[in-house]
Amino acid sequence: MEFYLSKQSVTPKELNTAKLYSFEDECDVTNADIIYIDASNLALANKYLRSIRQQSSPAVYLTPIIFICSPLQNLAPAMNLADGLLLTDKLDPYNIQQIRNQFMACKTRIKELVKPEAEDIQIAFKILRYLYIHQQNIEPVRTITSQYGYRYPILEPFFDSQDHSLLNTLEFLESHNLLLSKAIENSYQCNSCESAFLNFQETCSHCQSSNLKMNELIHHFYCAYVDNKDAFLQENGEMVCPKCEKTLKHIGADYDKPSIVYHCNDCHHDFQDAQITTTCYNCHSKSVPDDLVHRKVKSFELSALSKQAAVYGLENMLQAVVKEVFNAIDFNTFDRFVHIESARIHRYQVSNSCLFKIEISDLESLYLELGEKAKGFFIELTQLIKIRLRSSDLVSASNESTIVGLLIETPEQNSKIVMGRMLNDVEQLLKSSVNFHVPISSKLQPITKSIDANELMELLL
Amino acid sequence: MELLNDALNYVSRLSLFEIIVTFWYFFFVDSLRYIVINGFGLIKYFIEQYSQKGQKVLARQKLFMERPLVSVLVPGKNEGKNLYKLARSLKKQTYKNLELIVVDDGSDDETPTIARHLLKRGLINNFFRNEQRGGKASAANLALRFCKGKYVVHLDADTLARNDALEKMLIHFYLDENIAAVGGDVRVNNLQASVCASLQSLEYIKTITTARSIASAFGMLRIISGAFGAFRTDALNRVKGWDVGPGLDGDITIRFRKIGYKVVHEPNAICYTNVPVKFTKLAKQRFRWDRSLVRFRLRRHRDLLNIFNRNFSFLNFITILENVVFNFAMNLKWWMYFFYIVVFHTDSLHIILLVNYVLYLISNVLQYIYALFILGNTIKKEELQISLLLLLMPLYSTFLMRPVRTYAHMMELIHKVSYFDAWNPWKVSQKQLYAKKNTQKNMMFGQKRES
Repeated sequence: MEFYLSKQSVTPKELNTAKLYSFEDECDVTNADIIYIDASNLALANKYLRSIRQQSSPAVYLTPIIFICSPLQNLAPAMNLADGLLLTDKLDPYNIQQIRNQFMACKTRIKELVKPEAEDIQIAFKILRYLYIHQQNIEPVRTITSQYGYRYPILEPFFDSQDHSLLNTLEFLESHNLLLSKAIENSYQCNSCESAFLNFQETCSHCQSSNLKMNELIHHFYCAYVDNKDAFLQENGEMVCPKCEKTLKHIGADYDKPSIVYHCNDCHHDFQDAQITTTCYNCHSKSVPDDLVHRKVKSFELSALSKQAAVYGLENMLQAVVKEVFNAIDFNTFDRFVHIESARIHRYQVSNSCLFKIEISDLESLYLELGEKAKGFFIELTQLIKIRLRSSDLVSASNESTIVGLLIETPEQNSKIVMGRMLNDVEQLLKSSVNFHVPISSKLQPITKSIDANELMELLL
Repeated sequence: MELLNDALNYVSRLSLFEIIVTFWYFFFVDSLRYIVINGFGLIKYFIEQYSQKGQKVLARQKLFMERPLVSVLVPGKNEGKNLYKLARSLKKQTYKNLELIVVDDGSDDETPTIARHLLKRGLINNFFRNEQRGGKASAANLALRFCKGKYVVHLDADTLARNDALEKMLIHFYLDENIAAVGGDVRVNNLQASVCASLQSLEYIKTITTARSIASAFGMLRIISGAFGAFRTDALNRVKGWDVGPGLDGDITIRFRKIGYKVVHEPNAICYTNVPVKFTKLAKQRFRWDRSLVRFRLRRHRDLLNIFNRNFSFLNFITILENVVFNFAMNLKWWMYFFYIVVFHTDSLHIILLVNYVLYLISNVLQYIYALFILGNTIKKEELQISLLLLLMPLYSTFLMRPVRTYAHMMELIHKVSYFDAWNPWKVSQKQLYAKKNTQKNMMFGQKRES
């Protein structure tokens, strides 16, 4: 299903299969294959683009969007905002079919998502999913319309305003190894408002005035006289030494220019090393280059880890696998069970149960190393744990790297044996799967009548 | 002892006339110049000091009332390592209104980094760098062009001035408004580094402290040391700064005198400098210094010896003549004397040499005593401790200094070697060397200067 959003009430004949919505209409674009937006009024088109990208449903915000523009309009602002741009004079079946082919894979990937019908609230996750679905790399675009001096226009519709959130989100994804960055250039920004629009100018090292005169020095070899070029210049353009009155003919033979000296017209200080001062065009604050905010302008691309995170979520791949393999309960339910077991032991004082925890550190490196094999690895890992457990035992994942379990009616001594075997299996698996040491920590906590359930959980985690 | 007895017997056998004939060089040249004339000079110096005592107090008051800005110019190449010490020592000066201007003449070491760091820290007031070396004179002239002081102190980066040195020099400008330059007293800092350095310390005391103080008293001072000298900025600007060296310090002093300014030496304005610690290096240094007598006195400023010159000055005439006679002509005469005794007194040569040694030792001791009067309480313990080395001074002067001086004079006279000295970049030296020839050629063919 394709949609065409326009203020016009007619669909271009080449898009007659698309469902037409006027900008004024309420429309449901869920599960659309492609959305075409009439961008002859770019502001309006942009507004609709934003309203689609800011939806929480993956079936909506991930949909490929194509701007239909007139060849007569200024195309520069429309570039890179949507997933594609078609000119009205190029609206032929061939080009439209090209676009359909291009975005067919997106639709397939959207369907692969775990629960595509769910709501994605976290903006970083939305960005990641969008980039994964569209297999996009993000390139910075130099512009004067952003105070940073560059923009990532394709991602802007996800955000309400042009503040720092977009950059923060990219930094967050990069810090979690979900995006790989490449520095394109250095940007120096105002330390007050972060504007990249700065005027660099030479100023007096005494009074910071920029009212300077630059003088070339002349050194006359014959008499060692040194002065500004002006002192040598005659009205007829010749240069005559004020000291020995000889005419200077050839540079290198009679004289040279050893250096440049600045003269401050305000405080009359003469100096060679002018101080560089910046003035911000935005907030007018003055600074020196050392105090400026130094930022690396980066391009971003998806990492090996991105697909897993985009499909399963940012933090819950292990949890998802645990749930799938064990048909496990979520952590809140697990916590509830622990309370019940603790109360039962406290009451009858005949049972012995134990809690265990296995925590895998440096999961990021593991993800990076394994890439797309990460899911298979986690399935294998959880199965190794599963075979050491009884069907009456309970298992959950407290966070992305920690598996917790309740060994019901298992004394501490026996639990230690089980635990040891599990750890041994996990370590063997890690050794055979990755080339570096992955630290694993474990803990065993017997449920005793003297410790209440909340305290037990605290001790365990 | 036997040799000494022989010497005494030899001398006792000679009549007074024979003694004078045999040792004429000592009696008519060196003892006359360094004992008799210097003795009178010393008396004149002390009379002057005494008569100026009250005036100096007033001059000091005037100086501190006016508190003029004094620009300390430090031109040099690869002197970065000395700059911090220098800047710190200037901060301790009793006279405080100073601006320190450092000129880096094409250094190829860390000097620019060090200087810029000190500039940022406020230990240097201004810093200029020439990427291409232009020579010491151009570096000094660059500093002069941009200095703002009423007075200028020219200082070598490796010298350390005593805390009251600048004040002592500046006072002279308030004693006599015709004084354009005041020379500081350069003494040896590393005098304990080697025998060579110790001997130079004794030599500096003799030739700088004593000789220049006395020359100054006679109004015959012919050099303000490049290592440490104070100048009136307007006078420097009038002569448009320093000319190309080596020997630019002596040259500018004579140029001041030519236009009627007075120049004086102040033995109590003391700075310490490091001297060569090896005789080979010392010989090279003196070979450079000694050439300036020929280059500047005999060539450039020979007009001062022309009694028909429109601007003839008797004092300037005597100043140059004394220098030429005693340091150039009599130096050559000494070699004649030496060959005379070698040829005509071969049998008693060793005895004559020994007697000469004793005579010159007495002369050196007397000169050292003169120096002690001038040095007063400014003499350091270390300087007194090396006084035993006076025993070596006749040998140092005769067998090292005199041959080097003679060689320098001859080489400069015949080959103009100072123009080929790497002390100046070749682009500068060649202009000095060929400019005169070209001027003559141009005049010969009636060419205009500008053509």
